Amino acid sequence: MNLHGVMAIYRFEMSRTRRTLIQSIVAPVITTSLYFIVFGAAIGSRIQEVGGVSYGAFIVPGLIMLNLLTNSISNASFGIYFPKFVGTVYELLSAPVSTFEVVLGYVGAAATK
Amino acid sequence: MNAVDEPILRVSNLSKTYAGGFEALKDISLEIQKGEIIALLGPNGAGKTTLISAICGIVRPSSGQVTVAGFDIARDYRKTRALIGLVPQELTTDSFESVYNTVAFSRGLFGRAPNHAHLEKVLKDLSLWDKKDNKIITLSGGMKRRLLIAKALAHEPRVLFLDEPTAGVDVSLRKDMWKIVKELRESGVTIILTTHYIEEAEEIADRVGVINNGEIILIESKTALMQKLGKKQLILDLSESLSALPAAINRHDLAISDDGMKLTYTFDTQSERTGITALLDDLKAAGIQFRDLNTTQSSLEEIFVNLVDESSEKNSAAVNGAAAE
Repeated sequence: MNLHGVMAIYRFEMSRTRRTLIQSIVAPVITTSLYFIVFGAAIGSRIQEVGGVSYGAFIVPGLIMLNLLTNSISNASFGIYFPKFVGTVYELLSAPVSTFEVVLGYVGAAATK
Repeated sequence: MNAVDEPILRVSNLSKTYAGGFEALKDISLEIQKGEIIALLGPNGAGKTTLISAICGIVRPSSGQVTVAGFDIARDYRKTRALIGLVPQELTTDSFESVYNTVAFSRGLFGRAPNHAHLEKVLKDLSLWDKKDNKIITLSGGMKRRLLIAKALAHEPRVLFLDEPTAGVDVSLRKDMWKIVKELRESGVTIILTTHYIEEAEEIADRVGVINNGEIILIESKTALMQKLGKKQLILDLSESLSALPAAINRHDLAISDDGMKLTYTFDTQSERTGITALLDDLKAAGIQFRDLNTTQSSLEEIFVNLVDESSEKNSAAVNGAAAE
């Protein structure tokens, strides 16, 4: 088991996370607020209740979860897809790591995020 | 066979056919000894990169076997890959990461414990230490090339592949790079490089291999090639046409052109007696007059181009033959 390899992938991904912190947190917060304001102004005032809960209690958790899920998936897949796209994946392919260790490194980092 | 003369790299009957049916490598066999520098020459698309990729585990071979230091690359891939460092042809880097982090990543990926001192040494050797905290995107092309070498050396490999390391690198940097290669060899690293610069292959390599159309046409020590290089031809333009060579000058092993106007004498510049004086004396004695004389020398480049052309012709002839049948 190449633990150094798993740790290297994990650390590399976490450093990418730190680098992209603003785009992964601030940007979704802004889009969510915009959604809330625009939808609120357009249709929010006309809807009193959805399935027994107030409009605010319905829409806010929904929007937050939507952004959370999209971001976590795109962030995790980006780390795997981008090296393939730019070609740096050669290093991962030529390294003495098994498929399992690669997955462990990437998924471990994605889960931590 | 004991461990000492076990070649560091042995390729036997390696073939690679891509999914589209393109045969990139045809039955390649090759042995490389520890501490050698071997240069692979070949035109674009000859299969050099595929060969390297197959050994490093990036491309899956269709058939054949490769062993590194006695370990099979498929069965013991952890051992073989940890021994190998690869500098790719393309400048592919993680643009937004810092120099130091990306080198540290490479070391970890190849299963070595973090070692700050070693990374510092590698980066200093490649004059990248003052750039260690810079993002890769801010580096120049030559620096990126050196960074790729640093990444390949981060895990202290025993075999280093350099895939066209001097492509797009300026003269002084190229010289620095060859200096690094020589130092690495002194520390016992085996180096396999591909290049288009034939003179450099000649300067730095112990052996030179020529690949074309996925086949190794020739693999010879540099000294053997230098002897081929040492051949020179003396061409004499005669004033009058000769139908046959007079017996008196036959001993010189001359070639006569079809129209009888040209005599060609091939000699070895490395030997002490080239025999030119004797030849000219005999020509005078036989009463043969000549108008002009010139000498030509075959360079390694010519040898290389001839080899590649020959093998291409043979291939197309084989294809035509197969089509005719």
